[in-house]
Amino acid sequence: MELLLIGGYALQAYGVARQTMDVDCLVAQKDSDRLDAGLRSAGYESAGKTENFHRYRSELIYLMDVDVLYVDSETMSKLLKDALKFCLHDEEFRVPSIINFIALKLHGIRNDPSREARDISDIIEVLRVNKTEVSRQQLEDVCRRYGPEGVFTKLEACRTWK
Amino acid sequence: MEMIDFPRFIIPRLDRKKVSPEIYDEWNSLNACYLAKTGMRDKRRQDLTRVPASERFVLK
Repeated sequence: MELLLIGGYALQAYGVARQTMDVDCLVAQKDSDRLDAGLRSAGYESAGKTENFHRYRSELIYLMDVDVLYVDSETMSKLLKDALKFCLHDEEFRVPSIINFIALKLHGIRNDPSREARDISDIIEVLRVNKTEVSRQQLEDVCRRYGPEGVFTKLEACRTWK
Repeated sequence: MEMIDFPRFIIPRLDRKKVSPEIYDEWNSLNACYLAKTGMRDKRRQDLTRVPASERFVLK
């Protein structure tokens, strides 16, 4: 099953680390049943579900909450095409490319403005650590496509190293 | 167990070393266990009202 880490754990692949209390991942909708079976067999239970999202929890203290975002197969294929790999305990994980990670964050902010402070902070740190990865034009373009109005101006104002 | 003082970010030019994914995972996991044992995980779950994106993400 193809799976991409997003959220706090994904930040490691971009050279950024921050504390997180859950594991966020993204899968194609067609794989949702398979992932659901795997998580339940590991000790997780459903803690809320929408059309595009499923939250899992376990009472076992060593199992972090898992948030799953669903995308269609076409988007998953595009995300996997330029995904980045990183290893953790001899397991290989994949995360979206930096520009696609930013697109996901901006999409989240546009749908839920209360996420802005934290998600913009994540974007800024990823851009700061990966100074040459995203050009001004690319950032403006991704902000226009996925973000709320005015977000490019905010991000540019924080890019003091540019 | 003590709360781990984990930096939110690796700040360039400050005297912080980058950590390997393994060390990050160990710190983060220990912290999660601490939060669970102290009841803070349950409180956080109760407080967690953030609604995920209602619109499905589509890569254009």
